[in-house]
Amino acid sequence: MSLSDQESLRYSRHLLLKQIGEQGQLKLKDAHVLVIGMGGLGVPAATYLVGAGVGHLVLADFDEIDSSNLQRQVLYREQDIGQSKVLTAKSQLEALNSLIQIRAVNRRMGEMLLGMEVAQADVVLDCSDNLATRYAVNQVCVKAGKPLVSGAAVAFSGQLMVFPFDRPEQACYHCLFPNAQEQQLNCANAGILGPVVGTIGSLQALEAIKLICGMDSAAQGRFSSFDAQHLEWMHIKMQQDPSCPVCGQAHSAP
Amino acid sequence: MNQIEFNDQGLSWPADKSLAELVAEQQSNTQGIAVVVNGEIVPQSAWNERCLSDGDKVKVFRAIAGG
Repeated sequence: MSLSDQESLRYSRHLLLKQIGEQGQLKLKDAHVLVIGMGGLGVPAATYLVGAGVGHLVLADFDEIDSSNLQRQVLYREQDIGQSKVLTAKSQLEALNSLIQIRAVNRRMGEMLLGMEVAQADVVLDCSDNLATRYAVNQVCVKAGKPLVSGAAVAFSGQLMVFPFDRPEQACYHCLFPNAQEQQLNCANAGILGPVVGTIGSLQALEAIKLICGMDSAAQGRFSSFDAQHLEWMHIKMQQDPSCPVCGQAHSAP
Repeated sequence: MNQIEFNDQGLSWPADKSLAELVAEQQSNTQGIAVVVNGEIVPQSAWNERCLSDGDKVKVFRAIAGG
């Protein structure tokens, strides 16, 4: 398999990068990525993945575009208010790159559908806005052994977690936050600034590209916390909890 | 008493009291938090057994869900 002339021109700036090159571009073309949530994280993440030539992208959300989304979800236009996020995003992103396949899942995913979508993906991006989804996505990705790039943002804070579940003995989201409850703070009650969530969403795309191209990244297996007000990062290596009911020994014991 | 740091604030803490007790005392809400001691996450299942030494730096991160 090799790139067409059209693809070589289009992705020429990737081909200049020795870490990507033609082999990496072919891996991107062959990759299946599932993006869960097409809000402030999913919009930049999906846009960069489409730009980068990820061959198969699935966008999942059940929400409609609200005028209060437009300050940060920059793929959507005023005329799109009231329309489905994933259908609008699909149409916008197809206009950006017609060489790839985009599928929209315009419904709330139950455990079975989520399991089927994760099974087809090479990398999963959690761009959701609630803890129930985060725990469900984590559990399915652990079970399926699929790498998960999880992002979150509220107000001036961001979090990025890269879980390479295709490798053994990885900490999972449940190890990190075992008893988080539906919450606390979200964008609707605590506010959010566009570039803060945009930064985290862009990093999710970056880490997904690295995973697909087989590049090492210090972010893998790490929890990163972003303080956008003081422009400070804290990076912490995650530890698998042996007693974690999702990924630990208790889970794998017969 | 040991001198430790909790979320960047200095604190005197008895050598025989656990990390679980520190967290319970300092955090009114312990839901959805990750506790980091000297740059390493201590899983919640180990908070009870973990005591703190002089100079330990404890930091708490709370899960955020927004996106």
